[in-house]
Order: sequence, then C-alpha cells, then structure tokens
Amino acid sequence: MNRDRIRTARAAALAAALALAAAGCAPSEDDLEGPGEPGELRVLAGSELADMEPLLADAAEEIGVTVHMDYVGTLDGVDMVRSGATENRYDAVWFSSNRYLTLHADGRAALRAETPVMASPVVLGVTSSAAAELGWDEDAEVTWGEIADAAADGKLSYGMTSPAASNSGFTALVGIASALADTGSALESADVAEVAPELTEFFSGQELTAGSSGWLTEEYVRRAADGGLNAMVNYESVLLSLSESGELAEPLRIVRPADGVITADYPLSLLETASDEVAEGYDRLVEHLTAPGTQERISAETHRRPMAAVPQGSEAAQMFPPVTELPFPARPEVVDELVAAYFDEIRRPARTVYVMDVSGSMQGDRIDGLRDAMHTLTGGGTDSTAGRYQRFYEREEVTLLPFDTVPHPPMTFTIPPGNPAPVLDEIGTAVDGLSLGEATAAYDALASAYETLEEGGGEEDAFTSIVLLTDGEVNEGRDFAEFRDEVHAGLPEELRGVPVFTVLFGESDAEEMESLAELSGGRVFDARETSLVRVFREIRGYQ
Amino acid sequence: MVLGSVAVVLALALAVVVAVRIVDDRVVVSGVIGSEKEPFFSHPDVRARFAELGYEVEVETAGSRSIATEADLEGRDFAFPSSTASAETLKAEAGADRDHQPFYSPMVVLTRESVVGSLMEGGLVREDENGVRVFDMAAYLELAAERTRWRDLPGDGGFSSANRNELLIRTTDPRSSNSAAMYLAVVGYLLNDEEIITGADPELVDEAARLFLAQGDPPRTSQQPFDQFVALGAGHTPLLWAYEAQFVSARVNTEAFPQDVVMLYPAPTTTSTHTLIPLTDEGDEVGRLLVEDPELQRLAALNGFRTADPGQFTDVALEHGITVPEQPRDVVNAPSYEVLEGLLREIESRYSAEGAGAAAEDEGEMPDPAPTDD
Repeated sequence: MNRDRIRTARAAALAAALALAAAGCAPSEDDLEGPGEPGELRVLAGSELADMEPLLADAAEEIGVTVHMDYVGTLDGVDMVRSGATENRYDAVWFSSNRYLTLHADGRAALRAETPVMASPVVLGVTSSAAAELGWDEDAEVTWGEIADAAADGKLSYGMTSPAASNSGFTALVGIASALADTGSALESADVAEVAPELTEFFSGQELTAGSSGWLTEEYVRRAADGGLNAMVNYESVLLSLSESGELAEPLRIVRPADGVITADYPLSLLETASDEVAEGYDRLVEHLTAPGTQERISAETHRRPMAAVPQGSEAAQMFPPVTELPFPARPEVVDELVAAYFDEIRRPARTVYVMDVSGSMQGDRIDGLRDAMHTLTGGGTDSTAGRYQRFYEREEVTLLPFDTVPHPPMTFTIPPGNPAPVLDEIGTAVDGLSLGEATAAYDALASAYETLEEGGGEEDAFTSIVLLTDGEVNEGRDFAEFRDEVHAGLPEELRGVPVFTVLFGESDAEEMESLAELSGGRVFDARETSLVRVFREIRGYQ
Repeated sequence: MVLGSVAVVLALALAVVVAVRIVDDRVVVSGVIGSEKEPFFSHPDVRARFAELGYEVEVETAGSRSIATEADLEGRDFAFPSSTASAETLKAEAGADRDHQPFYSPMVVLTRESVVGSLMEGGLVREDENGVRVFDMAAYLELAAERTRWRDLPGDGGFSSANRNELLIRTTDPRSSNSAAMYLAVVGYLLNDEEIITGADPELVDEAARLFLAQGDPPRTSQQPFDQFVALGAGHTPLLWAYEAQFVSARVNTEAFPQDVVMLYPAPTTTSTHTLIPLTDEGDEVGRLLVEDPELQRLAALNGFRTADPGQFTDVALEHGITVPEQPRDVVNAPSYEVLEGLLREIESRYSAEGAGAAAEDEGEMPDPAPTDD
C-alpha cells in the first residue's frame, strides 16, 4: 500500500514537473507543496536512484518514513537547488554525487546535512574478446593512458554519457583528465590545456554519447550485439548489473584503471530549508539506510559498494576490489573549463540536421516555442549551468531544414573555433526568419535530410544525428511505410545508422514517431507536456 | 512599526512557551554539534543515561567552524563545537557567560597496515619507546613540498606503481570544519619555523593553501571522510587527519571495524577541546551533567574521548588493544582565534578563481583563469 502511494505520488509529481518546467518553474504538485510533513521526505533525485525504490518502500514500512522520489537530470537539479527552486517542494536531494553542487558556495550553503549512502566508481567495461586481444585479463593492470592508446589505435569503440547531462560522463571526464594529466594532485586550470591532446586520443574512441546512463546502457546492448561497440564507460554498479542481466551477447570485463578512478558516493542530502520535523525523519532514514542489514541489501541488489568496511574474503570483497581514488578538482572554474574544452576542442564534433515543421498549424505559440528553443542553443539567455553546458559548441555543424508541403532548402552552419558568436547569431536570424506554409511533408523532408548529410561532406568523424520536430500527422508526400522501404532501406550503411531523435509536439503521431526512432536507433522526446526549450536541451546530451 | 513590535512580542512569548518541551516526562534539549560527536550522542547507553537524568538530547551536526560562523542557533539549547577558539566566538555572539569542557581529543593521522611499512621506511613514521607510532609532520611537509608521490616511497606506499597520487594527508574543508583548522594550526607552526603563527604571511599562506587545495574538493564534516576511509580502503584515503576519539570510538563500538587501520600520532599535534556553550538553562544543565556525571564521563571515554580522569580513557584503549600515549605529547597551542580565522579566510579565497589568480601571480606557473560566463 505504501509502495502504491509512492508510485502514484511520483507519477503525478513527474507529470507536474514536466508541465511546470515549461514555464521555467520547479516541479510542483499540490499534495506535495508546502513546508513538508513529519515522517515524509520529498526527494529530488537522479534517475539512476530509481533502483532504490523497493528498498525505500520497505523502509517506509519499517521505520515509518515515506519517501517521495522525483527524478531530474543532475545539472538541472543543481540549478534548482542553487536558485532556491527546491524550497517548499523538496526536503532533500539525492544524486550520485554532490561534487558539482558543493563546488559552489550557494550549493554548499543549501545543504543542511549530507550522508553518503553507498559508492560506485566510474570505470570501463570491455567485451571479453576485446579485452583478450588487448591483453587485459583479470590480473592485468590497465591505466587510463593505455586505454587512450587502445582508443587511438582504433581497438576500442565505446559509449559514455555526456558530461553536460549526466553524472557518470561528468565524473568520467574529470577522472580521465586527472589521470592523464598525471600531476598527482587536484587538476588545475593550466593542466586542462596541457592534457587536451591525450584526451583527444582517448575520446577518439567514443562512438556513442547519451543524455542518461540508462539509455546509454540500452543502446550499448543493441550496438554491441552487431559489433559496433566493444566498451562502455559507466558506473561499476551499472556494468556489474548489466553483466548479470543476461542481456549481453558477450560478457563484459570490468577494467578498474590502476592509475585511479573517481567514486560516486550517493549522498542523501537534507536541504537547509527542511523543517526540524522533517529533519527527524531524514535522520531515521539515513540511520536505516546505513545500517549493516540495509547496506548488505544495497550491495546485493544494486551492486553499489557499501559505505561500511567489507570483511576480507567475503563475496562483497570479491565483487569490489580496492581502487585508487583520484582527487576531484577543488575549484569550480577548473571543472567548467574542462567541460568546455571537451565539447569545443576534444571530443568529435556534433553534426545535426534539425528537420523542423513550419506547416500552418505551427502558427502562434508553437513556432515561438521552436524559436525560443533554438535561441537557447545559440546561447541566448542561459545563465544556468545546464544552459551554459548545453549550447551549440565550437566545430559543430548545424543544418536547419524546415518543411511544410515540401522540404525547404537546407541551411548549414559550422561554428568556428575561437569565435562562435557571429555564426550563432546567423543561426538565430535564420530561425527568426522561418515563414509558415501549409501541409506536413515530414518524410520527404527526412529524405532530404539524408541527402544533405550524404552530399555535405563535413566532418567525417562527427557524431551525426537528425532531430525531427513535427506537430501533426504527416499528410503530404511519402508516408512512414514508403519512407522506411524506399528511403531508409536503401541508405548507405553509415547513414542508416544515423539516429533520428523525434520530438512529440502538438498532435504528432506518437506511435509512428516511436517506430521511426526505433528504425534509426534514435529516441523519442515528448514536448507535449513540457517546453521545447527543455526538450531541445535534453537532446543535446545525445548529439 | 507598531504591528511589527506586537509580532515580535508575540513571537517571544511563544518562544518562552515552547522552549521547554517535555516528552514522556523528559525534557527535550536540542543542540548543534561537531559531527565527530554524533556517535557519542546517538550511543544507546548515552541516551539511556540522559533519560535516567530526565533529558532527551536531540542533536544536529555541522562543521564546527560553521557552528561558529553560520549555524542557526535559534531554538537550540546549546552549541558544542570542537575547539575553544570557535567556542569563544560563539560565546560572544550568543552572549553566553559560561562554557563546559567535558572532554578533549588530540588530532591523529589514520592509515592502514599496508601503507605503514612504506611510511616507516620513508622516515615518516617511527615507533616510540611505548610502542606508540609517531608521524613526523616536519618530514611530511618536506615530502609534500617536493610533491612526492606514493610511488616515490620505498614499496610504493603499498600501492601499485601505477598509482599517481601525491602523498597528501586528507583533511576536511578548511572553510567549514574545525579539524581542518587544527591541521592548519600544526602545519602553520612548522612552516613558521616552529613558532605559533601570529599573522598571514603570504608565503606561508601559499604553502599551507596548497596542502589543502592539492587534495581537491574537500569533505564538509569530519565524519564524512572518516566513513569513506573506513569503507573504501587505503586506495581511497591513504592518510586521514582525524580526531583520536573517532578512531577509538569506532574501534570500540563498531563490530566490523577493519583490523588493519593504524593510528599515528603526529609530532607535533594539537588537541581539540570540545566546548559546550549553553544557550538556555536546559542546555547549561546538559553541559554540567556531561562534566560532572560520572556515568556520562565514563561513556565519553568509551566513545574515545579523554576526560578529566586520564585513566578512564587509557583503560578503554588498553582493554581494546589500542596503543595510545598516556598524555598527548608534543602539543602545539593553536594560534589566536583572529589569526587562525584570518589565515582560513585567505585559504578560503584560494578556492575561487580570483584567489587562484592571486596565487598564480606569486608562483608564476598558472595562466590567467579562462573567462567563464559567471
């Protein structure tokens, strides 16, 4: 019964969160708004903590503290805490780490208490055949430097989440940079430029990016099966769970680099705004979560390391061999510079065709919403951490392909390194100049997008994708079946693998958009209940 | 204006009414404490003893420096930071006219058996005539100044030679925590040619700041890195600056406490005198009981604290096979509150871009901080 209540509240809160995000507000739900209730804890959490719900439901039974979990991207969550948007809505936050939050004085001040509950280092999983070829057997000591060499030699193709969207990618980037910089101490600004060439080697092997570690894992399973990927950077816990799931065609060898890793410590953190009555429930909950029985269950069910000593020779000691921890930078600007360098210089650039509906039904708020969304990506009015990290980056190629009854001529922009502003302005102007037509020929436009990619040349190495936004049923030109059979099936292999990220908007056909995403290895994003700004930013994690 | 005054009067009246809360015939007393004392207050025997005495003590933890500088003391009956310096400021701020010092604890360095051999061979650790292992802080500072890595020590510190980390003691956040301030008092003394520091000499600030910043993003309270040290092993935290009481209490009271943890006594060290500042009469009574009640004093020793009777603590240690000095030796007095605070503020500024820029000019090895949007 408790569990049902949690689920219902969560679903409602999530829906409300999505709806309110449209107005730039924090999630809210009438039931849950206000100063908080004794014996309840409203938690804003990272999505990877959804696996704690069964445990939390049992905790509610045992200790009488009911936990309501709402899920949000880490950086969006950080922005909410720092801006005070969590007040009267949440009592606590729970992400895989507070590192980003507590680098900032306002983030530190927003927390009343922090209790690390469990731990998982960010490491590398490699297929057993690739590991064998590289000589990385169970006892081998492998460093991030050797992993970078293997990537540069084309022997590793891996997936990693976006450091601008997900904690695992963020943590991985900082850890890898610290290890490769080899300074022995916390990374400094000067080290970032110094280590960029080695990082470029390392990230030459990145074939897949994702906005969430869940989708990364799903997509890894799919692409590893046809040989497209042979490795993944992720939490040790995710890799262990995946290995156990039976979903993998080939088992993963987990490489815990000998030169060090960064460990997420999952601190359940009470907010300064929480009342004393709520704090009392928090105390009981963390006592329960850190008790030996619960800790055993956490490591058995989630494969995260317990926050208690593991007895030598135990099963847990086998599963969790000791690792060396690398220091996390002490200054926020070092981290910001590293993330900016990753996108602007280090990783392979993105190449995206935005296929955008400008049919008559887009009139009014809808076209305005689309313009706002594009302006957010060109850097207009984004003071937030998330906004800053999710803009268009240097070297990136952006094509706008509007369509109504027919596809319009594509407009392609490449953001030049060093001086992005003028081209970003041009994109903004082009978006403002979009004029509306009549019908919706989305599949003809999509066919034209592939042609653009084929002819365009551009960066061969780029992360290429298509974003399709349409607000109604396709009523002109090819239909889905015709597109699938006549266009998509005939594409050269490298284009057939280009993911189409479809955006549900207005009256678009959800089922068909789902089929299209599946056909291309893309993903559906729902902008019916939330703003296009938010959705376009979210898609950035996948580009 | 008039309305405002009425509201204030009402609020005061209410505060008086709710100030003494009684639950099950016990007076509920609430305090804000340094996190290292949380295990003591949540210990079942301590709670039971307070209950017998007619009290239920609720505590909330905060970094001891935060208690002195930030914590919201409204509605609290006492504050219980870990240093006399913090306590003095708090006393002045809260207008309290007394304090209670029920127990104290010297600062120690914790490590693991797998690491200690290398430290001994490297000349950092020796065993004294009583079997107490002593950590040479001056030798440590020399190695730290040379940016010595674990792999530079004989035996690689017990790690793989691939371990890249420098040999650095992990401390808490000097911006919030007393234990980090204690560390600063000791390293400041050594960097100042073994004189108690009296000002923020720029060169000394640079050297001391690096010892903190090189460790990276620091933990806010002393309990956090201690838990990580225990749970995540030597690779995570090879050397931890901690309170003696943290180790002794954990060893005595935790069933599965790892047997390979080694306590080293830094020379010189400093001691933390836990000082309770009463904010209400009830808080005052709790402070008095902590000092005068023999049972609470005994329980404090069981939780690793040194009490007025030195034998209480050493008996507990002996009983659990922990080698400790009878009295802390080679103890450096902390600098005055103002001097220490001044130094801490200088170091605090180094955690931001501007502070980093200033440091770069001195050291001439960092470029201008790159522009960011904020």
